[in-house]
Amino acid sequence: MIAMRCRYESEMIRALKTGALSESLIEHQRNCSICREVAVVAQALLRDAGDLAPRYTPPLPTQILAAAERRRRMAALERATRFVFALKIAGLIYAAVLVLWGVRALAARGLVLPGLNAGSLNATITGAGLAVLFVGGGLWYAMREDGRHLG
Amino acid sequence: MTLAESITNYAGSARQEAPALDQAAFQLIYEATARPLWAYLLRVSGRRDVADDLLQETYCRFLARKAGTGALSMNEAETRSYLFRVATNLLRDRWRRGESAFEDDAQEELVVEDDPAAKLDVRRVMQALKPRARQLLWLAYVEGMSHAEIAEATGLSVLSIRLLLFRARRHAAGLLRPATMEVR
Repeated sequence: MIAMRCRYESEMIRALKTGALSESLIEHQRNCSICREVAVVAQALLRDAGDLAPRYTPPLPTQILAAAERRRRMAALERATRFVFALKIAGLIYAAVLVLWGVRALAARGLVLPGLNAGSLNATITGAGLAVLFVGGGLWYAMREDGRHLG
Repeated sequence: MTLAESITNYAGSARQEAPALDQAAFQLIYEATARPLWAYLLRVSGRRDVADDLLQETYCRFLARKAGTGALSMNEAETRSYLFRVATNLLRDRWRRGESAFEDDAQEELVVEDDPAAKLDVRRVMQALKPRARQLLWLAYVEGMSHAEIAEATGLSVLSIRLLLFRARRHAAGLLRPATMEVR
C-alpha cells in the first residue's frame, strides 16, 4: 500500500484545529481525496476531544504532588533497602570464601579431616570465586534495571 | 504568569529550592495539560479507570524526572510533547502486559448530551481501530503533532508513522463517513 500524502495536509490540520479554514483550502479540499479524509477524521476527533475535556475534573495538583512525593520517598527507601540487601549478599559470599580459605589453610597443616586436601579445596575455592562473579554480575544487572525503571 | 513563564520557573526551580513557586508552576502546567492528556488516554485506552490511573502516573514520572535531572529545561511545547510521550509509553506498557483496551465500556461514565450520534460514532470508530492507530490519529489530528513528533513519542520511524497513519485514517474515514452523512 502506498501511503499517499498531500502537501497541504499539515496546513489543513492546523486550519481545522484553529477553525480558520481559508477559501483556498476549502477549494483544495473539494478536489483532494486525502484532505477530504483528513477533514472527516480530524473534525470528528476534534469535536470529540472538545466535548470530553471540559467534562473531566482532574484531581487537584496538590494530590498529584503528594503522590509524587510519596513515590519519591518509596523509591529512595527501596534504593536504600536494595543497597543493604546487596551488602548482605556480598557479606555472605565473603564469609563463605573466608571459611573455605581457612579450611584450606588448616588442611595444609593437617589440622582438618584427612579427606580434605589442597587440591579439592582449590577447586572449591575456584567454584566459590566463580559464584561470586556470577552473583555479583546478576546483582549489578538487577540493580541497574531497577534504577532505570525507578528513573 | 503565563504557561511558558511557569515552565521556565519550574525548570529553574530544580536548581534552587523554591517549593512554593514550584507548586504554582506545576499547577499551571497541570491545568493546561491534564484535560487534553486525559482525553487522549481515555480514547486510546477506552477505559476511564485506566485513563485516571495513567494520568496520575504520567505526572508522577514528570515530577520524578524533574527532581532526578535537576536541570530540566523544557519549553511549553516540549513539556506537552514530553507528557504525551510518557503517556504513550505507559499505554504501550499496559498492552505489553496483556491488558487490552475497551474491556469494560460501562466504566466510561461521561454523559452524552448534545449530538449523541456523532460522539457514539467516534467511540465506535476508536473501538474498531487498533490501539496504535488510535494513538496516531489522536496525536496527529487532535494534538496536531508532526510525523517527527509522533515518531519521537511512539518510538517508531517517521516512515512507519506515515504508512500507519495513512492506513488508520483511511480505516477511520471509512467508518465515519456513512454515519457523518446520516447525522447531517
